[in-house]
Parts: sequence; structure tokens; C-alpha cells
Amino acid sequence: MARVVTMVLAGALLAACANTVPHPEVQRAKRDYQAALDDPLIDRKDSLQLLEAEKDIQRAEAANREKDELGVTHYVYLADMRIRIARLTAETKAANARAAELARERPSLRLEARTAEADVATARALAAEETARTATQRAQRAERELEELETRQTERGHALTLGGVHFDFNKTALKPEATRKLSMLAGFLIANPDRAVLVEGYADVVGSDPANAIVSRGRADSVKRYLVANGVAADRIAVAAHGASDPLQSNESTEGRDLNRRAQITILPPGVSAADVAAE
Amino acid sequence: MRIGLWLAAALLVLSAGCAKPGPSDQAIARADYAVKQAREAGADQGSGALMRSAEEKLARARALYADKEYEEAERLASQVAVEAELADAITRNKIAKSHLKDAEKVLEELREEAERRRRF
Repeated sequence: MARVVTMVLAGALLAACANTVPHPEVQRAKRDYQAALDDPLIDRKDSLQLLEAEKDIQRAEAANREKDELGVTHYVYLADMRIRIARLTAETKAANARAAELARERPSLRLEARTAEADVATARALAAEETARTATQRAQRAERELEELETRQTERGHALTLGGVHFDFNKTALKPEATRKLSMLAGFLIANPDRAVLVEGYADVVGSDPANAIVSRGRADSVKRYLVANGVAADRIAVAAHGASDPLQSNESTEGRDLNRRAQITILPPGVSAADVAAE
Repeated sequence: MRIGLWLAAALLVLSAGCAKPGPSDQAIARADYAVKQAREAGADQGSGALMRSAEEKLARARALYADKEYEEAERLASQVAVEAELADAITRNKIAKSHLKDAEKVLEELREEAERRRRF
């Protein structure tokens, strides 16, 4: 009797064991299912596939209990497929959402591109305008300054009259009264780098021609030195000596001779360099 | 009265016979529908191998059903349905990814253009 009871108990235990031995494929499918449930990308609420997968896993477990190996394989296959579908669908949804987001960004970026282009165009126009304006302003200012320097328009440019007596007899040093206009000229030349000057020295009729050539040359050089000392580049100043030729006044009187001892300065038109006139 | 009863019984038997078309009929209809849906989504191009497998299984399921192998036919039909649904999902996923790639490319080009114009 006791033997029979033991045998029955053992049989029952074995049966229980057989019923609860989990199928490895079902276990794997369960883990995959759980992982899908935990995936934040997959919305559980609208994943009918996951709901179906859960049912398939339950059916696979039931088939396992009934030792229906084919049934286990079948339902695990279905569950696997549904989990894959759920993942893919969630991925598709995310990709579509991202694409829609990018499409919304597009118009603003297009506008940005156009704005950037417009900005550059505007900046360029402003710069061109500014250049034109400053060029005009500079030319107008130069004209005004030339007026202040009391120049006269000649065929070679603007002739500058220093005023008063420039040099003492047989001397090449500038008299102080002549330097007032010269310092104004230096300022003009510094402000207008595109302008050059021609300085021509003259002598009165007193003395020999070679001596007058030397002294007239010395007077032109004096003016050049003065301008250079006041900041004007030497290569912007052309010098020439004319001796006693081309007197302004009659050499008969002292006053006349005083005015004939002179330096004549011509402000050359824009674009004409000192080298251009020195070559003549 | 008697005739009426007999008639009712006969009708019941007949209707029961009609209503028992085999348990897998619905499964086959569902599978057929899923295959058609997938084909509409372009799955023949998007997931050709899976579609061919599904169609081949569907033909086998129909044959099994005709041979009254209902359980086997139903299982095959449910496999056909999930395979077609997977083919559908793969196809839609491919399309979405390609659209996203295009959108990213367009945006990248616009960004580069804006940058180029800003730099003159």
C-alpha cells in the first residue's frame, strides 16, 4: 500500500515537472516581448501587434504543456514576427515624425538663406554707396581747400600764390611770410594723397645766368624741403629751375625784382604724378 | 404541427452544415487580405522574399483547407498573415527612412547655402 502511494506521488510529481518545464524558445520570446514592452520608442497603447504577441506566447506555453512541439514553434514564430512588426512600426513612426519636423524647419532656413543673401547685398550696396560718397566728399573738400589756398586754375593745374616776398636777394631760404601758405599746402597734400605738386624756382635779373640758375634751383629746393619737413612725401614734389626767365614784374624796380624772386607752385590735377611733370 | 417541427429540425441541421465551413476559412481570408494590403504598400519591391514566402504559404494553406486539413491550414494562414504584415512594415519603414534621408539632405543643403551666402 505504502509502495503504491509512493509510486502515485512520484508519478504526480513527474507530471507536475513535465508541465512546468519551460521551453527555451518560449522563454526567449517572452524576454523579447518584455524588452519590446520596455522600449520607450514603442507605444504600448497603439501596438496591437504586441497584444497579439502576448496571446501567441500564452498559446505557445499551452502548446508546450500539451507537448505540441509544432504548436510551440508556430506560436513562437508568430510572436517573434509581431514583435518585429511592432519595433519596425514604432521606428517608422519616429522617422515620419522627424521628417515632418525637418520639413517644418525648411521654410525658415530658406528664409534665412535668402536673408543672408539680402544682408550681403545690402552691405555691398552700402559699402559702394559709402565709397562713392567719400570719393565725392573728398573731391568736394579738395575743391574747397583749393579755394582756401587762393589758387588759380591754369592749364597745368592749380597755381598757388604764396603771397608777399618769398626770398631775399641772392638767398634761397624762405621768408617767414611765405611759409604760412606752404604749411596750408602741406596739410592739403596730406589730406589728398592723389595730388602732387610742381615747384618752380625763379631769380630776378640781377646776376649771371649760371648764378641765377643755381639760386632759382635752390629756392625750389627750399620749398620742397619745407613740404617734406611737414610730412609730404618727396616723390610727390617735382622741382624745376628757370633762372631769371618769365619775370612776373618788370625788373626795373626794386618791388618788381622782389616779386620776381619767387617759387611758383602748381597743384597738379588728380592722377598726374610728380614724375610725370619732371619728365617733361 | 408535426411537419413544422420536422421542418425546423431539418433547417437546423442544414444551417449547421452550412455554418461549419471549417475553422481555418477565416484565417485564410485574413491572410489573403494581409497579402493584398502589403502588396498595395509596395511590399513586392520593399520585401520581395517575404512576400514570395507568404504567397507560397497561402497557396499551400488553401490546398490544405481543400484537403480538410483545417488545423494545419489555419496555422499556415496565420503565418501568411504575419509575414505579409511584416513585409508591409518593412516596406513602410524603408520608405519613411528614405524620406527622412531626403529631408535631412535638403536641410543640409539649405544650411550650407545659407552659410555660403553669409560668407559672400
